[in-house]
Amino acid sequence: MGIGIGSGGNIIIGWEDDSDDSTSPSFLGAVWVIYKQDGTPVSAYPRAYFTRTGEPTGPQYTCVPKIKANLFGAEFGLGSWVEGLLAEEIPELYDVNTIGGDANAVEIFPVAQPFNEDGTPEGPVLTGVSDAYAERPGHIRISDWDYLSNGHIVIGGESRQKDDLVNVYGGAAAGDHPIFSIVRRDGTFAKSETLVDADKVAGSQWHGIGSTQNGFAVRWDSGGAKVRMFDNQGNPITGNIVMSTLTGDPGYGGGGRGDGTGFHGNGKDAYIVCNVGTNDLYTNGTFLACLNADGALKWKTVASDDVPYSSGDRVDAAINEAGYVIAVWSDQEQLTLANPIVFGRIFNPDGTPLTGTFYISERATPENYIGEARRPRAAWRGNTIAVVWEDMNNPNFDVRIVALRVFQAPTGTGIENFMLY
Amino acid sequence: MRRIDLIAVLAVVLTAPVWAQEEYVPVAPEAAGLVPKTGTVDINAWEPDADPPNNGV
Repeated sequence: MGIGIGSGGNIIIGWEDDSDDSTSPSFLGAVWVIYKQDGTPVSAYPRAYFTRTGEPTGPQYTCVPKIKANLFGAEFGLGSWVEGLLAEEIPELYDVNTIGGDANAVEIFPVAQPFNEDGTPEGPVLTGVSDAYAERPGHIRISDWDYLSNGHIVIGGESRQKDDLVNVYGGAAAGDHPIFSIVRRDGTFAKSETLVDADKVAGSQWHGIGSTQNGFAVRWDSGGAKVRMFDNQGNPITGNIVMSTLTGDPGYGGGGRGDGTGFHGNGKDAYIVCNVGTNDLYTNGTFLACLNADGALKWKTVASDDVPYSSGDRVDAAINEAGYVIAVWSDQEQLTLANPIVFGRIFNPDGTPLTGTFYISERATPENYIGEARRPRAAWRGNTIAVVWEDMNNPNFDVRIVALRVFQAPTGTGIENFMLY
Repeated sequence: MRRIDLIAVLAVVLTAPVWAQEEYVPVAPEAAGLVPKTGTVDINAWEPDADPPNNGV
């Protein structure tokens, strides 16, 4: 799942809904809808991508949605990895979508496409790698992507073209490795495929690209969580930052490749890193670290430290322009519940807690839940907070449903010291 | 008296982490200062056989 809040206030929500047959149109591999902040739909039918002529494609060609709102303009977007023949509907992708031009040999590669905030198409599907790059043996999954302040788009991949790490990048041993490209809106590359890791060793990545005013950062796993900062041209401005070393605490080095972690920029000057971690004091705590755009540690805290236990499941966090942060997680142990429910807690820009832990859904409180609510994802823009999660508290359905709740933040926008000229 | 005081102090200090954690119960978002703009909205609550599908997120 993923969520973003647009500059105009609409909210994009994306998810993957797997059926038995991934070639079937009933397989919602990566889809999105758009809602207003009052919970009414703007674009309620689940969409995936659009062709150059604006026709919606089927949802069955790609998977693992990465949902974004442009922090520098009025756009939403979907990223995912292609695992079917998307070129059936978008013919210009045929070369990169196939191995050696064979329609029966489908290549896995990352794509992203910007949309307008009403869900209408804006530009073409952009590929994170070139056909020539993708032709070598192995697949390339999307890791994450984001908008940059210069108008370009950074698209990341977990490259499983293992030999590239030696033959292309000069590493000592082959292995999976995170890469990125910076793509112009016409699909050309402003920065072609680039290795993330300064040490040129194997690593993995599922989520983990965010942007700030002058660049972006990547979070990945390579023997523990690492982060590296880049400028808008894709030049590194730091080496590898080992999160457990930066914080002096192994709890902040957890989260693995990032399936269950949050990593987001605020479009201005800070990144938030959220993961399940364990140290001498906390077991499976929700660990929260805020980094400045230059990679320095701004603050760190254990978001769940006011409750006895936290979750081993997926967690997330969101940071707004002013640096306020919400951490979200699901847990059942802290209240000895039969099922997990979703919790959140808000922090000031200096990392001090603004609130205690609260629950998110009015129908999945510690007293009235009837099923699980788990794996939340959050967005915070201006004074609006939006949270989505997987929910089984609608008594009319026996499958998990994507649930949304929207709040006005207890902080205002946080942008209080300004003057009009 | 000194012995009694010491026991009392130790009792408080040694049990403080336990009762401090057990005392806090997560509250409603309103009690934390958030103002709900919506209740819980079911995004893909379609009938299982309807189009579009829902096979479980």
